[in-house]
Amino acid sequence: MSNFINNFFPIAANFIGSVFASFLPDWIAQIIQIIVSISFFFVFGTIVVMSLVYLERRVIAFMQDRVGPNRVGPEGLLQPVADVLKLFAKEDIVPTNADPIVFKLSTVIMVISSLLIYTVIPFGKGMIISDLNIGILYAVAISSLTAIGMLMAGWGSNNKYALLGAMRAAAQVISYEIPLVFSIIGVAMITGSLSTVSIVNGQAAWAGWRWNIILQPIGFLVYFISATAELNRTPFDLMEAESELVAGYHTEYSGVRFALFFLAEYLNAFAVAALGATLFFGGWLGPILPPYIWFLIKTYLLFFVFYWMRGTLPRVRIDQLMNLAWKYLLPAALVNMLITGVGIWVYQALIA
Amino acid sequence: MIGSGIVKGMKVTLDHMLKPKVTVSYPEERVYTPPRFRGAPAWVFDPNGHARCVGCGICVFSCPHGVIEMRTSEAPGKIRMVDYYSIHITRCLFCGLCVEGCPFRAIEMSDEFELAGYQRNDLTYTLEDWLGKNDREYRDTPRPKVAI
Repeated sequence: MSNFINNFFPIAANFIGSVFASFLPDWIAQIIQIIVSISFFFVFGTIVVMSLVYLERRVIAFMQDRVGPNRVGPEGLLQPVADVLKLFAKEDIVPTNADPIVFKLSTVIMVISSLLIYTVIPFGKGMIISDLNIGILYAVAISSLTAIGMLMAGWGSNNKYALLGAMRAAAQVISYEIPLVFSIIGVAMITGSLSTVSIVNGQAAWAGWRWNIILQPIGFLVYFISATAELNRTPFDLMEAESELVAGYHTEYSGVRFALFFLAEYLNAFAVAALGATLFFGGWLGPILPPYIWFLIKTYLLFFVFYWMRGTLPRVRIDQLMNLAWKYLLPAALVNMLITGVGIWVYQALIA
Repeated sequence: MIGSGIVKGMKVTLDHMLKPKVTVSYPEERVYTPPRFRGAPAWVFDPNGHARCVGCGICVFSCPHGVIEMRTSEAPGKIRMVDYYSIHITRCLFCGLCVEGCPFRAIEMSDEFELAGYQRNDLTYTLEDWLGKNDREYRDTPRPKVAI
């Protein structure tokens, strides 16, 4: 029974696959199984994004001594549903002077690139769409595609605020990509693999408590700060700074397209938090509860820190932003790499 | 130490997250109205439902906008009866001069602050509107010894 609960989703996927395999050729059944799991992830992602938006509004309201949305549904739980319905009912406006192709394509790029990251995120034991042996590299590479989407949105809108926001976005995302990657290298060195599944399995030592954050505290700090900047979340939300740039690169977007931008932003954020939980907090590992529950608990707790930072910290200036990335985070990540290397060398010389 | 300010700030927000909220969910909860709150002026009735007004008309004269309307008649036994008394709340200033001027404390500022209505007639408060609706504690202040 506990095996069934712990592996519910892989068992369900295999069951669907075997049902189709009973009357269809194997390869079609396999494709159907993959499509079913992908659509499950899409629905799951949408629900997660709605929950994140609701929690964000609620948590930040609590931090500001307010109550937050509490009217639509019990405790305001249906507020994001109402918001989405409103956005979908709105007129789809493409500005006259905008470049229609680039304008429309940018939303697609944003959403697809943020959904693609979920390919390598292990939600539980065996709950991964594809266990690539270069998983982390893949996730980092795909997540930087969003910079292109932002740039296209800013350029295609033909609006000065959108363009300024997009330029800032490009500068910021590309700068923070570097400390982000270097902070992950420490984890990869310890595990000896880039596959997310083997990184989680590597943390199963010490009875499941050899989480990488214990060995890589600096690495986690650098990862978390650069991830915040990469996601354009507050202290680093320069490209969406309301007081300066209206709304940044998505100034001209409304209705469904805006909803897609919103979706992409939160999907990205959740993916980064999930990667953080995978890399530094032992992913799905944990006692008693099923693995996927542990994974969600860890991810949501990491996301809570995002909310917490948004509720606390004011926006940094652009020069502070660049200084932080190049003068502090990058050297810290490099030093972390050096220490990790020496540590591994000493460990192998003395113990192994 | 670098970052100690950030840690302090984070602690403040976490503390406030767990503290009670300042928001009052208005239609369900009410804000506290202090005893001297200046809501719409209303008549005072004693616990038996008798009004304290003697129909002297000082409030009518003291009102700077003339929003108070009163009609009286003489009842047997040389008593003045108030037949009709109304306040046009749309034009009321909430200045309290009628309350100050009243020698019998027969009118006072109530807690009433929800002054919206669907028609203009709703905003003319008459005796029927006040009867038994004034939630304030009844204070039996002695009547001044003046002959009317």
